[in-house]
Amino acid sequence: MKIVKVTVDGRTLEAPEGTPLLQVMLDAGMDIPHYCYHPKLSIEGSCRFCQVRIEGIPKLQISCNTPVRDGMVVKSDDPEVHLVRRGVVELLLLNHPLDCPICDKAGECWLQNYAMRFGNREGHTIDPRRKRGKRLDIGDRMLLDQERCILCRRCVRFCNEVSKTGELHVFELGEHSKLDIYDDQRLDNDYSMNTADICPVGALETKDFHHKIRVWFLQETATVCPTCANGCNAMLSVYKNRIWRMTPRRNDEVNETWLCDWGRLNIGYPTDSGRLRVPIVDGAAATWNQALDRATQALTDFTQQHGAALGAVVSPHLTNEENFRFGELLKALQVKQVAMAVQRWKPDDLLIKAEKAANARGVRELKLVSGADDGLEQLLGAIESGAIKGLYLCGDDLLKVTPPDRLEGIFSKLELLIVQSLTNDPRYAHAKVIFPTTTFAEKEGTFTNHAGRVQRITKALDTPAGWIGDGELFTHLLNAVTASGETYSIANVWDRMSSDGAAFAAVQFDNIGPHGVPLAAAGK
Amino acid sequence: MPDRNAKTLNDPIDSAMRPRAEASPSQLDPGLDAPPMRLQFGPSHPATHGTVRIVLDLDGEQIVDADVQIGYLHRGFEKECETGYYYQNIPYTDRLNYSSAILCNTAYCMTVEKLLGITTPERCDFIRVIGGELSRMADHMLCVGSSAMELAAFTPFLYLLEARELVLDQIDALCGARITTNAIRIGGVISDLPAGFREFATAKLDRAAKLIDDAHKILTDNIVFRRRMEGTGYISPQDLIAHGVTGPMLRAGGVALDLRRTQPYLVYPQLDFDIPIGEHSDNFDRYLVRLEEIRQSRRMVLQCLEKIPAGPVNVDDPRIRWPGKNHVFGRMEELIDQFKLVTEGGLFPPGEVYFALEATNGEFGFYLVSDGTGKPYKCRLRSPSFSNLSPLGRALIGRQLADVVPSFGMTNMIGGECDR
Amino acid sequence: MAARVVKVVRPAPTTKQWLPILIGLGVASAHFFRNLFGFIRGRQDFTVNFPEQRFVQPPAMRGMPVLVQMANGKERCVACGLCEWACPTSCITIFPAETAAEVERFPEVFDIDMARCMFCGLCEEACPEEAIVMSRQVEISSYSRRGSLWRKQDLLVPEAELKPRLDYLRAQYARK
Repeated sequence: MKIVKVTVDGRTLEAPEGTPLLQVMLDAGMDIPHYCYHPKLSIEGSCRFCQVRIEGIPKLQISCNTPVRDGMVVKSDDPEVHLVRRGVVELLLLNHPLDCPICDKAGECWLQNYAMRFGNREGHTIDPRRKRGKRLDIGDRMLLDQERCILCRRCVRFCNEVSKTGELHVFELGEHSKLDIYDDQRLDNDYSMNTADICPVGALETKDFHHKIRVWFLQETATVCPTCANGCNAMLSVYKNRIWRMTPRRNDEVNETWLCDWGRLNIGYPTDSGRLRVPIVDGAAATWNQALDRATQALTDFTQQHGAALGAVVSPHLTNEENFRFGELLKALQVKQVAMAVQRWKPDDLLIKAEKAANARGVRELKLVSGADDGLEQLLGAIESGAIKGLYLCGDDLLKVTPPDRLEGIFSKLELLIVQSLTNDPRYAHAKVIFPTTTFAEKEGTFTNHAGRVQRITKALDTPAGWIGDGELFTHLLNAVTASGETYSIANVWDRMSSDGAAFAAVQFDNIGPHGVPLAAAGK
Repeated sequence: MPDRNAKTLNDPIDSAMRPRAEASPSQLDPGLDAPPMRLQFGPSHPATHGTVRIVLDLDGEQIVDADVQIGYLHRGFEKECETGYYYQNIPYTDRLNYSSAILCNTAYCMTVEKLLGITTPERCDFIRVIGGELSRMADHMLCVGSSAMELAAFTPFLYLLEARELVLDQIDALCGARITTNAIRIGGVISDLPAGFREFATAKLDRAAKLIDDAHKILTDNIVFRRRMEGTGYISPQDLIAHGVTGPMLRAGGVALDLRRTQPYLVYPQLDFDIPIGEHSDNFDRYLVRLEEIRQSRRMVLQCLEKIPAGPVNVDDPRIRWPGKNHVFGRMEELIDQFKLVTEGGLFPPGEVYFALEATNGEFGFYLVSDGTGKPYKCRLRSPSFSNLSPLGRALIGRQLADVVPSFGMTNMIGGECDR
Repeated sequence: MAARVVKVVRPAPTTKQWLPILIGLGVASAHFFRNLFGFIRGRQDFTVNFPEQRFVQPPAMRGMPVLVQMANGKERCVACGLCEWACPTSCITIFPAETAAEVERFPEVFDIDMARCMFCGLCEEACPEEAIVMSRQVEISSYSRRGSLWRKQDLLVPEAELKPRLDYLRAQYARK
């Protein structure tokens, strides 16, 4: 690919030949306004907003559909360019409804932002604005406001090219153009909520976020979606210790700029009222200290009485660091039978992967489990035969993949059951201790996605005071069992993880960065 | 007068208490070696309005050492300004010099306008001067009145407060509040003059003039008042200049520095007014200067009411001035502008600016540093009361205890302004 | 058009020290007798005997903020959040929600903490819907902290009652 040089406003930029000029300017940090251009969609050229002056061409050119050639000289700070920008804004605002007070996009609306910077101050509309449909229910998760639409057709291209479902179309022509769905198909594909992200205005809105909160209150944290093994990069929007929405982060290796709808909707559970918030000891709520003491005592009693007859189920939802510490705990407890239960759902060929957990591969890379089904059948069989009499169960997936009567049979056979879970499910009634587990939003750590990419998650929510995270919990138990004084921190766990000669040997935590690093090829 | 102990002068600023002046032959009885008595004057004292603490070392009635300690009303104004948008800080400026709030609002807004390079329309400038001079009158009346009251002249206090009520009524009509005015906006004012304001104001100002004259008749020639005020609180003009004193305190020392004349702003070049200066730099001259300034402010307000032109009272600048509500209800561009200005504060260039105007106590200036966002990076107040209070400690040494009250009163230290 | 520097006139020292005292006494006596017998000529006291008499406040007066209630009993507010963001003391809390009506947004929660509110009027100025205005009420003390938290129901005032203020605002904020 030939690299060419172009000069924009006196700056020399380099790019592969054929890249759209607009992309080159955006990559250089220039703030060129545009609507219809999107780096992951086909080029449209309908908004006419990105026009710049190119030397040698008499009329202004749209930079999105101008491939760069060597020696191109571009001026974006030109009086005619300013005039054109003002004109585009004025014509868009001509028919735009006065919806800002009730529109969710206010605060991140491209029309507001560009109108402020490039537009006319005064409105001169005389004729009444055109009327179209408002708050149209076009899908299970989507709403359309045809009046706000500026006809950039990003959503149309998305449905045609990315989700390949083609639900949206701009009907009619010219003044009568309106965005709509066809009579026989609603906007219900698995990626429909992305259209609300890419819509520059508030025409397409998600029902999930509709009239929930103003975006200027939200604090954005970069993290990774916990729902499936793809590990799509995401941003959590948090306010008052609650997650209000999740939006995609760009990662060209993992999820481009998209998220599936199911991951987006799966963000309420950290603050759900049904979540377990206090440890349960022998069926009753207890303090953390009481629970830790009881668990330690139960484990030591069990080991004395039954020897090495303890099994464990690892959670594919905990981070690599927590699972590493769990592995150390299991080694100290001489646990031989370790398994992992992972719920599965139907994958597709875009983002959704079969495993409904973010870190299943991470567990396997740590060599905690082995076998085609991660040792689950072997463990369950061993419990049923009586070889394994105690179980340390992490995660709720076992409940979801095992038939209820088998599960009841297994639980009732156990002499000791310690659970670390999100909810106080009635099926855990046999458990001596139930610890509340933390969610992906409440800790720092890493997940390993299906392709072996190690990606960081960031803490966005606070847990209640006195709450002990899973890593520290395992560390407490480890210290009690081995009479040592370990602490849990990302730094000291990673030292061991990468020095163990294990799969994480090539990765340094500090080098992971916002887009993750692949396990195998890392810097060898 | 006993020698000042050099050690006590150079004590570090943050030592809470200066060591007591050493025992020395007493002025009263040279045969008696007695340590001075330490008297706490404030911060909770009827005469220390604005809360200030003066630690006095006394030899009988004579002051051997005076340590003026401020900061009791420090509320973190400058830091608070960094967390709010420019328009949100205007109500906080009300609470700086709370006796003359409109002048503080004006100073802040004019500083921001200087940063943006905005020129306000003429009618807006006239309204700012009207509000500012009314505020100045209110502040001076309160100062003179409470100083008189502290010298046991309760009657003129009430007359001046009645006059002040009349002025506050006018400020109330202008902006809806008497003290926490929030009357000025960046690029304009809160609203135009209400209907019939000229007649309303003229009637009230005439009545106020009578009351001021009455107070003057009771106080100015009165032997008790004169004995307390003449010759007390003397600070030499050189000391005044060295400490950065401005305003009536400086002018009472004979230095003719008034920013309305030397660095004219708003519509002062169009107005006829006198700037009173004194000669003896004592409390009595300060009183006379303030009393005369009240009359001159009244004169200026009446001239403004006569000369004020018709026209808009807000600049039409989408970078900072909120659009008219009638447009916000009906036009897209203005609705967007309103949204953006409220949620992001406005479009500001990075840079720094200083602007000062002549407030009641002197040069009241803001130093603003902008980082290009809608919130100031730094907002610093050049407080006139802070500098005015600075020479007071030294000036009191060798004086009588009774001189503290009129000296401090005539300094007109406003705690909100001095301590921020 | 000029500013003149003028020296203040200090009264000359005099031996007739009783004269100014007499004049001062005369001034005070004039006030005294005028106040005492002024009612004969119908003179009004300057003092307003609060709370039996009330001050007459100008139309511009900024009292506590209230929500405008439309004829159908609903608030005009659409929970746009501008007043919440404009408030310097962050005393307004709004949680928006959806309605099935034509105006699809309303505030499910609209709280004002009157202990923090400083009656500056920025909320009224920011509102794009004429939904929050400063009323004329300032007597809002309560016996408990909880009493200073005014909820939406407490804040609703019928539009007819607020008409003078709304008219004043339309005149105040009008631009050409």
